[in-house]
Amino acid sequence: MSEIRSMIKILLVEDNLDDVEITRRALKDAKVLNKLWIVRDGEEALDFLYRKNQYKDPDSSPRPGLIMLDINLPKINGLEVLKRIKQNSKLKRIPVVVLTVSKRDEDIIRAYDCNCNSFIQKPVEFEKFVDVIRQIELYWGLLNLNSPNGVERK
Amino acid sequence: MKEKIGILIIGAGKSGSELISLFSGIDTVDVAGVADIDQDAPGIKLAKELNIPTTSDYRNFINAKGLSLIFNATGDDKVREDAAKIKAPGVELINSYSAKLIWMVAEERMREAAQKARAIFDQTFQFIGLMTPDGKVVEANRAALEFAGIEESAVLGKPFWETPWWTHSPDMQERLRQAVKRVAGGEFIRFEATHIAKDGGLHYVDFSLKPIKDTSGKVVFMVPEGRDITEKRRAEDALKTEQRKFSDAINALSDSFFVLDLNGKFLMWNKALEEITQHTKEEVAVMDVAEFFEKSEKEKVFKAIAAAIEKGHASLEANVITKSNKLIPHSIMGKILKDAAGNVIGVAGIGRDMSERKRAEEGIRKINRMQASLLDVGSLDEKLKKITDGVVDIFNADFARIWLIDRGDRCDSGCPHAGITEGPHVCRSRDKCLHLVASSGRYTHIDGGHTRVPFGCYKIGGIASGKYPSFLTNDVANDPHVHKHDWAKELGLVSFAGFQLHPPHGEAIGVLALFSKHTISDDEFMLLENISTMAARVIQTGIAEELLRQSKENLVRITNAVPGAVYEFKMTPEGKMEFTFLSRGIKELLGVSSDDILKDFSMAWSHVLPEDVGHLRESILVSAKTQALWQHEFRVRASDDSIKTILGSSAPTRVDSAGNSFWNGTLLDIEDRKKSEDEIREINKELDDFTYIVSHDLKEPLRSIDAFSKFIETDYKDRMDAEGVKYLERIRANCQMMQKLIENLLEISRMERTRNLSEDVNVEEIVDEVKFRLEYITKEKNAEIFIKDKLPRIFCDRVRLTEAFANLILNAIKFNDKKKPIVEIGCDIENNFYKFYVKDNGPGIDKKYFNIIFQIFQRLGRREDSEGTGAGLAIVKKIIRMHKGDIWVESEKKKGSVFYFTIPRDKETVMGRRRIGEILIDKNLVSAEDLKKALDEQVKGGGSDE
Repeated sequence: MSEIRSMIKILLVEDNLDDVEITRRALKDAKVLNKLWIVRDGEEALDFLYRKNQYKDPDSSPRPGLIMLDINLPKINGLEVLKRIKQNSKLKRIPVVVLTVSKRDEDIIRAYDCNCNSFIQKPVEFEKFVDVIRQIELYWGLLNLNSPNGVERK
Repeated sequence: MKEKIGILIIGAGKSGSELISLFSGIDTVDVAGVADIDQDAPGIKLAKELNIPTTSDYRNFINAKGLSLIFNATGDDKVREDAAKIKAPGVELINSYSAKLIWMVAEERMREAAQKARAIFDQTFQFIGLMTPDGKVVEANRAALEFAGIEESAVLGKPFWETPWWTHSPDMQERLRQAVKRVAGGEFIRFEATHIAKDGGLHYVDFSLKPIKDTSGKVVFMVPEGRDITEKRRAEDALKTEQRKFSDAINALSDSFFVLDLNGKFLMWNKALEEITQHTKEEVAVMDVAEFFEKSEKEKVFKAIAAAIEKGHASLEANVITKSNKLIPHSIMGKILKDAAGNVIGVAGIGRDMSERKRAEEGIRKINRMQASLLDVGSLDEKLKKITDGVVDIFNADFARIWLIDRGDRCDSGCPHAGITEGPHVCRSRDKCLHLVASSGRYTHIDGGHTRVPFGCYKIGGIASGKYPSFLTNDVANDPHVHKHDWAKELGLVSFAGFQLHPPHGEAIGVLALFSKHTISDDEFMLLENISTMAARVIQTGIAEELLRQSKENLVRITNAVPGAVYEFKMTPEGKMEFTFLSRGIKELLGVSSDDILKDFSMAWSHVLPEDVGHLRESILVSAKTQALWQHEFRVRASDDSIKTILGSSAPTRVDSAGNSFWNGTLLDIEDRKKSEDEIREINKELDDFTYIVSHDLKEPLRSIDAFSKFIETDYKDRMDAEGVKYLERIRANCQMMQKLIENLLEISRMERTRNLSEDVNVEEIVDEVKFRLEYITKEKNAEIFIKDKLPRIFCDRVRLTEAFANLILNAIKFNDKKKPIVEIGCDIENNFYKFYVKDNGPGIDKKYFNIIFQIFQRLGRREDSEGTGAGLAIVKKIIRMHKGDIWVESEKKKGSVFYFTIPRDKETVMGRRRIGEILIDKNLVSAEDLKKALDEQVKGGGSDE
């Protein structure tokens, strides 16, 4: 697969360090060169998005073009984060891909009820995961047209 | 007295004779004499007969004294001249010619008169005749002659008593002769005579004989007269007979008969009146009606008589006093008598001795009272004692007893009859024995010598066996059937009556018997027979009631042991509802007794929670309308305010002729079940969460292991030898395995808890979808999947069934060793379910593995040979079971395999709603065949009572 450069910023909300590592690696292997911002829990995620506390500085918290959100988060539950994002007039335009291990119907339903844009089950096998990441980029980074605000293209 | 006209007749020839006859019959004429030369002339004879002086020379009489007329009948002029000369100056002389003239005129007159007389004479239907004083018949009228059928010539001149009218009876002749004599003497005689008519018949004649006298009083003629009074006599005889009959009749009456005049005196009465009042005929004749009653009742009597006169009839109940001052109660009825003109002439009536009837009435009243008291609640023995008491009282018996026929119960414990082996009274049937159950009167004990009597033996046993069906003797001392004559004599017992007690068309169930010191009349015997019929009925009812009571007890015991409440429910065609039976269990359910609800159905409704009432009512009405099995859950508030969930279910049993439908059912408290259900739901939820959490927490590390071992592999490949790489791969392979396992576990455990809505699904579409999903591997393996015939539309969980087919078809391809795997899918439609199959031409499965392949995680091949986790078939089995179907395999090594699974056709079954029937079968209370039979019968419309 040829290199595809996509420059949207991705915010990854993930509490599991391993998963962070794996995701980073997957992105690398998938040759996705987007800038990746990582926050470790729901509170941080909201701080980042609202530019609060340690993320007051907009440089440290640019508007992401895609949010990859794990539902299982400590402190504030991932769904709650999703809800808040989608209720905020500015933030709701940002596509949120729920990435999580579960594919329980209830979870899927709830996520969509909170207006997530996509729901993906994280495959266990790494290679498969790489593939998934690639496809996410292909779609959300390239194919999908984002709303004008909050996307920085070069 | 007038002076008679004297006449002298000269010439006694024909003319002269005529003159003589003529004048001798005339009262006012005295024929002084008759003269004729010829003393043999007819007139001379006649004159002599008539005592008229005669002479041969008329000159002798011509100057006789008193002479007024001289008739010259000679026709001789000489005589005329002579007579004229010598006669006295005042005397007339009538000559022949004149005499003839006079005579002709007179004759004519006479003839006229005679004709008239004759006419009357002959016209009358009465018998009339004329006789001489010495009894000779001169005349007889036509009626008399025709009566006897005789000619005038036969009787004229004959003595009357010698005529055919009288010759039939010497008595009558004599009587007549006597009568004639007396009438000749001037008497008038009348008597009843009998005569023989010309037809031979005897006639009664009112006979009279009247004398005809001349001026001197001498009887010159006699007139016999007769009136045929035969008819009258016959009528009189008939009347007499009637009167006698009447008299006999009224005298035959045992009741008193009387006719009173308006003054209260007796005009007529019968023997009975005399006998009852003990008065003689003579006494009654002069008695007044009031004398027959007590002073205190006289008023009543007069009122009754007055009423009779006024209304035409009346009745009275009063005591009659006899001569000996005994009072006899009487019922008297009277009617007025009127004469032809309509005037009341008296009162006729009948009086009846009521004492016997009063006694009988009292007896019947007592029997009725006894019968009424037998309807009261009481044991059989108590009732039978009432009967024997009644018999003693009503019939004044000395003692009365009732035996019942039952099994012999004392044969081995000292019954005296058991030991007798010889003689006429050997106890032959141990299962039929007479038990003494009631005794009243002189003997009231029931455990004495007669407590048991062998069937067929002795008097009592003989009555029971039918040797003597009902038995009466009024001479106990001498009757051969009675045994202890001395005892009977000593006690003064005179009569015995025994009756076999039996139901209308059945065998004997007992005996009623009594002894009495007085004779038993036929009437009393009949009453006793009625009483024994009553007793038989009481016994029958008693036995039936006992059986009923026992079966009721059993029913109550059984239904009370059953959990919940058992009931029979009735709904009228108008929709009125009630319980006809409700077991005690309802008390536990609602805290209300079954009696209260049986009395008042609305009480049951009042316990149902208001929000559930509507649905409950509706479900009942729907079931009632369609006569379908009814099942419904609803909540109730018990008396202690606790809320319970009740499951009611019932089945229709019958519809009676009035259109009422009946249902048998149960009410079960499923609160616990509901609680359990809730608990289960909670547990499931917890389990779900647990599973989720566990699997999630298991999966994450797996991902990490996989990923990092990959990283090692990738990044450090050049620093590792082949072995190391292999190890890493093994690590990764295991991770993947674990992940699949976790997925399958999740899948299986979730399937139980989450149900998709079942829907109408076209199975062909499912198979198409699966084919699409498996396209890759199908191509890879060069497999062919095809559908044999058509696949039906079924009611199922689409997603899950798709899953099932996917697993089966995938297995069929995956484990296939052939160059061209062929998978055939088909469906057979059986009675109650669809039988799907997935057939392959793979390696087949050994029989011993048929069961275990469906167990989770069991695999047949080596782990590395197959990709499966071994959970596939377990999942399929779970899916099929969830549809209430079954799955199995038929296979032979090297001959491929066929996996069969069934899906019920019935929606309800698929959805898992269970009916009472299934619950019953599940609990082994009923076999499926029996249930099916019962349900089929229900459907047929016969509807058994079971």
